[in-house]
Amino acid sequence: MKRLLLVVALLLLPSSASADAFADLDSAYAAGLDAHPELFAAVAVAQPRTTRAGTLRFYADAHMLDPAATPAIAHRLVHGDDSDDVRRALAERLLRVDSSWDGLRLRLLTTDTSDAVRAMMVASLRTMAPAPAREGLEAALGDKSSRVRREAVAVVARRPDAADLVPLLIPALADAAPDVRLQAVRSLDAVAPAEVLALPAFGALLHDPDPRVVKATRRALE
Amino acid sequence: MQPERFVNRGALGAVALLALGCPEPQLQQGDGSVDMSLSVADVVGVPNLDDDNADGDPDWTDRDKDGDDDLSSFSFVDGTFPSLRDGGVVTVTLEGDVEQIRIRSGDDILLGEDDGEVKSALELRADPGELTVEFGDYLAAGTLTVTHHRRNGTTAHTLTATLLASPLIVNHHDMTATRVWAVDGLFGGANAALIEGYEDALGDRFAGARARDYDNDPWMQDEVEYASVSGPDGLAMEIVIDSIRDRGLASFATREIVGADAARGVWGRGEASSQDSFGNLETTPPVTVDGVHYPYGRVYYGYPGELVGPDDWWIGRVHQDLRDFLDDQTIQDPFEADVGWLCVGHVDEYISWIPDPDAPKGFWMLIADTVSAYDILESMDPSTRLPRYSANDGHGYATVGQILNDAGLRRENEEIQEERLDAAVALFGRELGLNEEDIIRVPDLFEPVPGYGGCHAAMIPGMVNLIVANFGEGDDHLFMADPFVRSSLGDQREDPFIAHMHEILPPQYELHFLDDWSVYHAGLGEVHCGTNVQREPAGDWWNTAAPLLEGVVR
Repeated sequence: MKRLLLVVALLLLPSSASADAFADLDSAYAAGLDAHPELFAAVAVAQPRTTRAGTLRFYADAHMLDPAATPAIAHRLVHGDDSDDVRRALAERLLRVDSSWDGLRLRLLTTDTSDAVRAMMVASLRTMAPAPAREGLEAALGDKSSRVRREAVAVVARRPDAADLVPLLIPALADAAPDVRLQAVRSLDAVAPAEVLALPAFGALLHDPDPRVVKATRRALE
Repeated sequence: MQPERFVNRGALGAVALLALGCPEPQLQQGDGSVDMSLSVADVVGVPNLDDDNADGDPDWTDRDKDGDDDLSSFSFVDGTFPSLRDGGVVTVTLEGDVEQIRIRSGDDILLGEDDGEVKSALELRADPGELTVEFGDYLAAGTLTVTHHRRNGTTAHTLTATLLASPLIVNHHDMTATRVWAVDGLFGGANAALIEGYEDALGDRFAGARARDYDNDPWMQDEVEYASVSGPDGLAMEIVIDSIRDRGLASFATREIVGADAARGVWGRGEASSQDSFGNLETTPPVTVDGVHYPYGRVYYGYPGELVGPDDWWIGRVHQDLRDFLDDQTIQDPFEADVGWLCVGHVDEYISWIPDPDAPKGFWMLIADTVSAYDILESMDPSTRLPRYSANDGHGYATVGQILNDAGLRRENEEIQEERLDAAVALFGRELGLNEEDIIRVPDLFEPVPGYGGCHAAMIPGMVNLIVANFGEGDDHLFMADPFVRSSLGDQREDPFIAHMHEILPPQYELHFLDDWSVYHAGLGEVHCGTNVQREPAGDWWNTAAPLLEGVVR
């Protein structure tokens, strides 16, 4: 069902730079399978390990860290039938891949049914080139999941071109989710010029119902 | 009149001497001295929870005590019972935690718990010979009342002797190390560098638990916390507090540690939170706070505090049963510290302790510090390449300059410093009477873990998360993560963070910077998380901690 929804979402999507991402993935997978059959077989059955926090992550696994494994990891993420926790771990392995995977990451960011996977794809925007990163951030800031929106607001402040992205953060100050508002205050505090912090929308958060938001706003205005 | 009395003949540290024929009953040591040095109780022992006879059950549950070395023995001194030949009688009663105390004569249980029943009074008309006291629980306390009744029914003398079992004392870093443990062969040998580092430095004082026996669970620190009980005349037992986390290492304590003079205990049950792991249960070195001396330090553990992010499904408090138990032990007076900002949520992620006789209080508190981390980074050439940080299991930074230019990261670390780390300094300062001169700040940066909802973990491998392997006599080691803040991964001399650690840590320690990146750091832990240390048992708590136990028995 999850995959079906994904396909439906793909059909409804407007064309973009990432429009052919899944076709590109299938091509890359086919080519990689020919070149690295053992590696791809290993990726297909690899299981994430439990981190100290109790969450799942692919670490200390040479196969999963091999750059040549990226098509297999992405293919398993898109076409596999893993649990949400495993899919998030698979998505995490796409954080550090090269820019040839930007299109796929943007497609997953906008279409995957798991907000954990979408949030992970948002995290990958931190090191992405400005144009695709902006495309991804604009999409993520409108995501229905506050988890995804919060990640997007956080990523903006982590980018080298953060100052150029400040306008994207202003609407997040009024987000319905307190975690998003909190992160918006923190990110603007990190990268925004003083005049932005002087905006009424920012100062209004001194009266936010969430005390964490009030605290962060007060700290930013000090 | 012939004096009648009882004295200990074995492991009893305190000797109750009953002088039935004397005008005033008195207590004295086994050597005849009336100077009672034990202010906490007259008879001190250890709970008999180990398995000396290797039958798989705690010795307290065994009726047969052959080979058991954890009982305290005593007897009436020669000449006591001849005075009863005129028809007098001695009655002995036991009060207090009678279900957890036994007075034995050989295999016979005279007083206390006996197969589910409790005997609380005993009448003696003849010398029973050597008696033993056995305790079944920590801090089991009782009062033995011995009364000499004359033939005509009048009371000649009454004497009370107090009995007390050792509290459980959680180990701290100022106790001499005996053995260091880590899991060997993780994920096909991915942690070989760490294991070799330990083996090279420690030889056979390092023990590796085979990864295949423990389902490749790296987190040795989290499964068990070492503690001990002790009593006079060499009574001592290692106690393993076994976590309810019960991941791959769940059977470690039973398989590797428990046996003669080593026992385990589990407090709590059900689904564990991350806070039930024992990187989140630590103990300070001995400390004096507002005139109160804690000779075995103070226990502390993390609580969620102000939660960060939505991924808090694994967050909780240390299980109530364990908190209650540790509170009941009294002498290490636990307190809580905020870990809610950390994805793993353990106190060992940002605080540790190093014994140092040259330190103002005999130890240093080490705490993670983002300010000094940025100071060091800013002193570096920003073009310095960071291969570990740019690797596929890295943090997405190719150079020092990229870290420095990450405004969001800097903002996160400023807030962590102000609201979490500085707050921790204040908390530990209040709870332990520490001030700035007692603190060593260990450079570190924290990072929101991608996709985890805003909670944090160490980005520069957390060197504060270190192992103190102090074997004494100049054989003292500190093991911590290699920070890899350098271009040439094989040359630790090039690393300014390592150079800084050599400057700020006590020179008597040999420092070891272990490569923990791929298994531990990438798994959201560091060297301490993957290691544990057994230490020599606690000492004479019945003397040194007596003021903290007032009211427990007397």
